[in-house]
Amino acid sequence: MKFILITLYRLTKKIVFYLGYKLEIKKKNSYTFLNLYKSYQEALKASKNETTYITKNYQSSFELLDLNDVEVADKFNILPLFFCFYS
Amino acid sequence: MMSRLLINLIFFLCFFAFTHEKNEDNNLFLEIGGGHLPIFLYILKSIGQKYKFQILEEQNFKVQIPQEYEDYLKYTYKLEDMKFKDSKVVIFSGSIQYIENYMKILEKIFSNKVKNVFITETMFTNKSEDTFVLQNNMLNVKFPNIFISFKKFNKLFDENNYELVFQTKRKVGKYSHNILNKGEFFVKDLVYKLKEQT
Repeated sequence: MKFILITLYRLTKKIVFYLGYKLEIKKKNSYTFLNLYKSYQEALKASKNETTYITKNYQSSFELLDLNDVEVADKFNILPLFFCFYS
Repeated sequence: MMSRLLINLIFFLCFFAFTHEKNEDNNLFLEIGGGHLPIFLYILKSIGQKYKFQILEEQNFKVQIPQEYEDYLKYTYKLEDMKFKDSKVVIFSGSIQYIENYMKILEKIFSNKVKNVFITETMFTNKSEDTFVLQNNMLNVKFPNIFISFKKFNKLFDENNYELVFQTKRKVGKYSHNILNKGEFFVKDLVYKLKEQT
C-alpha cells in the first residue's frame, strides 16, 4: 500500500513539474511548546528526558562554529554594538 | 519590523556612546549557556576584537576550542566556579528560560554588583508567576522551558538597583503553544544596568 502511494506521489510530482508547478508534501508542523506544568520538575518528569539540555549525544558532538559561518544579524547585533564601545 | 529593530539599535548605540566608560584591560565577560556559538564569535566577527569570556555550560557539554581562542574562551561547568567578582557583564544568550535555578545565578549577579546584564531571545508572559512548559522543537526531544513573568522579573531587577536601559518585544512568530495563544507569550531582549550609587 505504502509503495503504491509513494509511486503515485512521485508520478504526480513529475506530471505537475512538467506543467510548471512544484508539488511538495511536508509533515504537519507540531507545536513548539506543549502543556502547562506547576513546576520545572513536573515538566522535566513529563519530558522523559535524561537531561535538561537536549541530549547527551548533542552535547558532546560539537566544535565551535567556524568564524566564516558566523552571521551577525538582528538580535546578534546587540552585544557587538555594546562591545565596540569597550574597545 | 527590521526598521524598528534598527531604530532600537541606534538608540542603544547612542546611549552607550554617551554614557559608557572605556574598558580597562583584563576584563572578563560571563556568558550563561554559550554552546558551540558563544557571543565571543559574534563580537570577533563584527568588530574584530577578542575578549576574555568565561562560559557556563551543562556538565555533559563538550567542545573543542581552537588554539587561537584558547587564551580567551574558558568553559566552566559549575556555577561556583564562575568569576562574578571579576566581571562587569553577564550575558544570557537565550539561556535563562532553560535554567531551573536561574534565581541562584541572578543572586550571584546582584550580590557581586555586576554592572551590565544582557538577556536576549527569551520568552516572557504578562502573568504574575512563571509558566512551565515543554519545548518540543529541537531534535524531536522535549525539555522544560520557563515562560518568565516579565512583571516579576523586572521588579526583581528594580529592587536590586538595576535600570532597564534597553528592551525589545517581539511577537512569537514561528513559535506556538498547544494551549496558550500567540498573544499570551512573547520574545524579549533586555539590557539592565546597575544604577550609580549616589
